[in-house]
Amino acid sequence: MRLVGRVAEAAFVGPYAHLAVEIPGWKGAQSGQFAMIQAAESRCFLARPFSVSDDETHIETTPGTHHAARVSFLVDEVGRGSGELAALRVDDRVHVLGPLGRGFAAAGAVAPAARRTAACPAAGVGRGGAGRLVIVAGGAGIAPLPLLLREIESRLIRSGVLVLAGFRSSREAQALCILDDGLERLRRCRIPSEVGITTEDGSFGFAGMVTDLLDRDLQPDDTVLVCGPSAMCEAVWKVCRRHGVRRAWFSLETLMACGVGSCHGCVTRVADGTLTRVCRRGPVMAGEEAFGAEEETT
Amino acid sequence: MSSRLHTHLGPMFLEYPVINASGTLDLLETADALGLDGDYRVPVAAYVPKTVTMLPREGNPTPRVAEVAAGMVNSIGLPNEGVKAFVADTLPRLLNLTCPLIVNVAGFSRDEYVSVVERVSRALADELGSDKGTWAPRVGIELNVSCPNVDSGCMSIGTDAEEIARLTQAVRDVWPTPLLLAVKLTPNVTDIASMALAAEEAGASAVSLVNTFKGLIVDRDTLKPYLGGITGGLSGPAIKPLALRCVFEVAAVVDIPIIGMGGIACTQDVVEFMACGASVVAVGAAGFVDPWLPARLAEELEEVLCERSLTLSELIGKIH
Ligand SMILES: Cc1cc2nc3c(=O)[nH]c(=O)nc-3n(C[C@H](O)[C@H](O)[C@H](O)COP(=O)(O)OP(=O)(O)OC[C@H]3O[C@@H](n4cnc5c(N)ncnc54)[C@H](O)[C@@H]3O)c2cc1C
Ligand SMILES: Cc1cc2nc3c(=O)[nH]c(=O)nc-3n(C[C@H](O)[C@H](O)[C@H](O)COP(=O)(O)O)c2cc1C
Ligand code: FES
Repeated sequence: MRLVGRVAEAAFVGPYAHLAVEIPGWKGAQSGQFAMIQAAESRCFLARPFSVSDDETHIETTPGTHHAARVSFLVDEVGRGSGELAALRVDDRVHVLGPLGRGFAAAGAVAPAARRTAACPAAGVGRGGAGRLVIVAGGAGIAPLPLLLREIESRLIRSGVLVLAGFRSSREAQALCILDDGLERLRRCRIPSEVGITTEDGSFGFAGMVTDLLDRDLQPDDTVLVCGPSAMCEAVWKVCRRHGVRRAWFSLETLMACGVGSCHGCVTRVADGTLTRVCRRGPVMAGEEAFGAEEETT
Repeated sequence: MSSRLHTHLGPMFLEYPVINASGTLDLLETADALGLDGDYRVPVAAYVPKTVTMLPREGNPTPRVAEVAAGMVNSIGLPNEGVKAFVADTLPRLLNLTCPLIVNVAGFSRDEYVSVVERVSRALADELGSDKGTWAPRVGIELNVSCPNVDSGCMSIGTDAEEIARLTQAVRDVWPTPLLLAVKLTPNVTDIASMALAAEEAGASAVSLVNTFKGLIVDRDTLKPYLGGITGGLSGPAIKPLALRCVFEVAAVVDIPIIGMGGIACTQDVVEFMACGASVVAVGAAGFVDPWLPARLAEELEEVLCERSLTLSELIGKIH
């Protein structure tokens, strides 16, 4: 059912709008899931897909708490729909359909829950292996990371976390502040974490692309989780293949009219040759599932 | 819902006069996406799944959708699992829904339409028994002769009154009265009333109008066609006045019920379509924003009927 949310906080982090929305009836999301959102007073015909950036209903110590769920989104203003959302102010209403799609946990990238970690050998991370969790984000692709960090914290992933984020310039890199709380909580739980930043113009962190940093440091037993533009995802998958990394998951972006499997607008061609609806089989998909294994490596 | 809204579409009883337009609501996927379990309340009075064709279809290249002022243009291209998988996997699940089912069928020749309907009939005989009379309240067929996003068949049939008549007759032979046979018409013709008449005379028990208007999106950067299928179909509030005109013209000449659609997004739209002569309305692309819109519009329609002191049958065709 479509829900109605109230904007509780609206602020800019660099060029991106950060919205915290109270959504009565919201069921709680996994990182990598998204919602179709639209300003209640909108001149757009369709809602737009946005990753759930953070979600306080998710906190597993309070199961079944549905009231006053506070869900946040990070909006890069690229056109009319995102522009309307970025212009929202406190107390404005938003229509929300979600949470939707397969997040990182459902796609098998992180173990489903902390207490089950040991009994969940199928999951990529949190099974006591040596590999690190490497999170790669590009631009507004940083959006789902706060919720992802909560999941990492609750799963007590001891093997260490490396966050690599790439931005156009120092202005976009201001969005890193949305990770502050999550990284601080990891520190308190003594989960080792490191952050590497790149900007294309060199105005902050390393000058270059996030894939350059990744290429320097990637280990074959790392697990890689990726959120960002399609071109970056494909470039990251190439680096993964080159380093023999098999466990990589990508949050894919396509145009979506409905977000729930009705319109067939969101399809992408996946490794098995078929066109698949990203809103249903994704948005998070394993690298081999999405891009295939036989890629040329240089 | 209240008995004020109860109605019939040919042999089918509908709890209220609002259904979905084919290709704009995948009920099974949507329920799964929203995490609803088996006993959710279906948001339509009858369910129309996406068009089924003889062979599986992948559909058109991407991009497939673009938003425009007051609507969208799509070039989806009828992707579907094909009738074999449809009758084996999907049909039994759809027959478990609590509402009647209207199977939307397309083909690239008359024979193909007939074959698909025959395959569906055979599967129904297995599921519901061979007495077709007992199917009538539960299952109907809608012939899509109006998709603008495929190369042959379909819309080329729907733009030719004689072809519509021949096809309707051929399908009637394998899908006999009293079973519901609706013909879904394209508005991309000079005289839609003559198309509707051709369908009625050939034995259709309803006409659905309209499918999308053929349109084009220009890529703002390259100035080339934007959609993978080059052209697409325009739907949404942008087409409402055009669709209303179609319903108005068709209602003046046919006696069979009209399923009206094209840009319906609010209750006033429903009221206007019914006033122009639609007995039942279908929610299309506006349902993408809220899959539960059809049921919500029906509830609000009831309030409007109360306020205006009208019965449903007084509202239908009030303009004429
Ligand atoms: C699962 C998922 C999660 C996402 N999460 C986030 C997030 O957390 N934060 C975020 O900022 N974004 C996110 N996005 C992307 C976001 O949904 C889009 O940026 C948004 O929908 C853009 O809408 P708009 O109305 O602002 O832009 P639009 O004007 O609709 O433009 C959208 C796209 O359509 C293209 N387009 C449309 N018409 C034309 C034309 N005529 N010619 C050329 N190109 C055209 C544009 O180039 C552009 O790529 C996500 C997307 C998905 C699928
Ligand atoms: C994305 C999309 C897919 C559609 N697919 C089909 C289809 O498979 N079969 C069909 O008969 N009509 C299809 N249609 C047409 C609709 O059923 C409807 O006739 C049309 O969109 C007009 O209604 P609307 O303006 O309310 O959307 C599709 C429309 C859209 C927007
Ligand atoms: S967005 Fe409509 S099917 Fe995926």
